Amino acid sequence: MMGWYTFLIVMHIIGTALGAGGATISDLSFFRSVRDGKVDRSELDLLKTISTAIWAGFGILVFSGFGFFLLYRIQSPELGLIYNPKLFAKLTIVLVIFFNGLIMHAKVFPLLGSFVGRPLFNSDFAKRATIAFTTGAISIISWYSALILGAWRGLDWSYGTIMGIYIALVAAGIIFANIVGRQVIKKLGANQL
Amino acid sequence: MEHRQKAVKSFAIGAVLTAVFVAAVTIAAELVPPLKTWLADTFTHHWIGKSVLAAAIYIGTSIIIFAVPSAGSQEQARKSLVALFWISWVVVAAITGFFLYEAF
Amino acid sequence: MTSTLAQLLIGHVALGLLGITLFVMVTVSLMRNPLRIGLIKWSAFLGFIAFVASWVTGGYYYVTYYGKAVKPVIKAGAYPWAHNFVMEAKEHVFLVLPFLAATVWLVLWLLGDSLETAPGLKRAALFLSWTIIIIGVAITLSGTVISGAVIPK
Repeated sequence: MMGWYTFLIVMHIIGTALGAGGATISDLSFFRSVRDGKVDRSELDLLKTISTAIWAGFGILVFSGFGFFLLYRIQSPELGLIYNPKLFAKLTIVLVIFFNGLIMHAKVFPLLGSFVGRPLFNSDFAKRATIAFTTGAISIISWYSALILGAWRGLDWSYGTIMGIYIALVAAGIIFANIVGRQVIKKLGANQL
Repeated sequence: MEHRQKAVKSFAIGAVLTAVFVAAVTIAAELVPPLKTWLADTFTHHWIGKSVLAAAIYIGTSIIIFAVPSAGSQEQARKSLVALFWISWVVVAAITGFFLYEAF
Repeated sequence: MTSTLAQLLIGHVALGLLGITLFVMVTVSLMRNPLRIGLIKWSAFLGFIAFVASWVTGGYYYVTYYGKAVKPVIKAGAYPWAHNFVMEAKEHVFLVLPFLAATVWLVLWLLGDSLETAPGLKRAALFLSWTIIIIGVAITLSGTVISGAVIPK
């Protein structure tokens, strides 16, 4: 008979797989769309479907994550497992994933929707695409950071160290995504002339 | 439609008054111990008292405001919701700030 | 802790998370075009019910058990501020949430069909929905901090 701990582990893994996997495919699909110079309706619908899977994964992750907190609280509070720098760092990153996802819904999907059927190699898209490149970078780095932190047994770094490395990675990712993204749009524009 | 807009305005103002009440009674009960004691004696626990009174204020004031003869409008409904948004944040800041000050 | 109290604690957390999840659906749906009014209305209604149920389950646990069995452990432990600040703020800030949720639900239920042509009203409902999410998340994290500070010697 599967105990609660094993059940929660399984659910947590499923949530992470859907979330990290979905974020990976989503970013790849987005860059593929940008690379061919247009976003058509089917590409946008695919991104929305992947987004739904990511949200489902996120929900499973959060519910199972709090399931672990409740298990520790009820069964073994004396171990003091919750006040753990790695856990707090993971919680912080999960918060970033959450609000980043909401911003994507508020800004990125409407942006792509407004460019369906229109060419992307123009200054209007280049100016507005910063939000897409930035949220995409934050999403992928955050999902993999949370995955690594969850899997890395015995990590005993402080909260400050973990978050310092995470912020540095996110900053680098944002810069890289925007540089590469703009280069692709510039190249597109040159190819079309 | 006007009735519905008026109802929304009434509930939004009711929520504003409830939020302000929650902040006021929370802070007052900490600063005036007899108030906390009265809430505990009347409702078996001070927090139950705050909950019950908040619910009563929300329902009661919403009904009263709706019953007062006046026309409803979309703009009034919108403004009352905006007021609720700002007041909610002020209330959250007040309660959090108060207990932060008390604890440290 | 008895098994009933454990179930109430689990119920309180699960229902709170459910309420937040449903208002995330409301928020995301309000940002879409066109609006799926049926989904938005029912999500808001069920979200409100979930918060009320979280209120009742958490309240019973708090009133009958927390004060006498949990609070002393936290106050005597390494993190007394987890009660003195976090729990005190949480138990009072929470009281605003069900009424915010009720109001958003009522706006959507009564005027949902006209939101497409009333951008100002839609924006106000959206901002309130965001507020519910942010307060809900803060309360959830506070609960984690409080529970984590319960370290019996």
